[in-house]
Amino acid sequence: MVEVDRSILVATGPEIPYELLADPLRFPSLFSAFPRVELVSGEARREGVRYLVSMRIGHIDAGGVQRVTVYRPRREIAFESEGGVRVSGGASFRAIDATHTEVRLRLRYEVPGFRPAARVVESLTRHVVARHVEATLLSLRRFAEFDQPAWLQPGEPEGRDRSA
Amino acid sequence: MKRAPVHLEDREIGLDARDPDYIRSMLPLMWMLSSLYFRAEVRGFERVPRDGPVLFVGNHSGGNVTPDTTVFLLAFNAHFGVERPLYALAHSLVTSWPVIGKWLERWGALTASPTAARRALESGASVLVYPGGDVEVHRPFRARYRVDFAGRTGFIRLARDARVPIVPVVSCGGHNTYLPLTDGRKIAKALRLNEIARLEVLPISLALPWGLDVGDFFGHVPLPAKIVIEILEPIDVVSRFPHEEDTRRAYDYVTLRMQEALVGLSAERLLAV
Repeated sequence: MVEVDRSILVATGPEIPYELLADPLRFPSLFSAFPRVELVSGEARREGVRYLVSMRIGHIDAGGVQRVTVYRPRREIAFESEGGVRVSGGASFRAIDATHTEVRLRLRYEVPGFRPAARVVESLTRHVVARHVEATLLSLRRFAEFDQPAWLQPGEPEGRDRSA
Repeated sequence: MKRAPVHLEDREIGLDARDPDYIRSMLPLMWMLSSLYFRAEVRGFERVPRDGPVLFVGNHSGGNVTPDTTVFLLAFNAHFGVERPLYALAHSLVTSWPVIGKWLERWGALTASPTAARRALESGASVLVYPGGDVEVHRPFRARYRVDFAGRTGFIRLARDARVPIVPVVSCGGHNTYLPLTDGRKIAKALRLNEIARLEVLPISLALPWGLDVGDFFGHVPLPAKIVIEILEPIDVVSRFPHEEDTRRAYDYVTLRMQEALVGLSAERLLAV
């Protein structure tokens, strides 16, 4: 089992980084690690919604169906995989003060198969995955503080499907 | 591209030392050697404005040999042709080397100073600057994927005053060509190297052929690590950060963009080499 846990301080309230991460369908336009995300079933921004997520690990495209297990607006989002490589993780948002938020990304995964070989793969991919997580956090900070997308309007009603 | 007339001040600065004919004659061999040895890959030239001066801002790696600078200068001249002038600002210790300093000047190296950079931009040339300088180029190996401009904001003011865009140039792999153990900042401070030679660090590294290399004053043989350089979208400092009080925010933005790209590039490689 590999665990990656990284955080970053963003100079905004929690609503902006939360909005940036709340809708995985937005990821391909925001984060280079996610070239493709599709809605499989369920309602966006609701627990139980399922996405087909492609992730770029080094030069390898990996991924599978992920189900959102926790949606707590401006507090926490969590997910876990269905089939394939066992993956789980999520994001949490902690207000440090009125203008700063600590965003934490966690990822756990376990490569299936013959354990000694799987461990080699896990140790080789650990740093690559960690750097993808770090790059995603840096992108998140840039979009929150400097390059806010036009669609990002703090205070929009929860539950709205932004996939259109 | 027609070059502006060379003034006396330009001669003192070294603008006229750049030798396009010499670069043209050496380029095929140098680019081939560089491509083979470092498996060099440069992406994003299509993002560089087609004409006019720009301020390229790079992260600096690889000790005093700076292989990423070599790769970028070669790639730029190969892509745009030697007629589009590009100057690279270098530490005075480098340009004052007896033979190598003159050789680098033929490739477009200038002794770093605000005046030299401003005059080069005014002449219509582009300028490559490494704000992190000696501090960044000798950062410890464990910080090889970190952009460290040491809080130096002069490049923001330079771009704003000259009204040219900043084009970030992010290099990954240059710091895998040698093994700096420490940047020796405390030693440099104790020896007052900043007052003597404008050096804030005294790196101690493992490097060929010296073994333990203190200061890297005579350079070293770089290891053949892969170097990937990505040119990012231009940043229009004049319109986006127009005021002096915006300088710090502009600095944060440029370094954040570059750090994001550097970590992204590092995530592409499974192994350091």
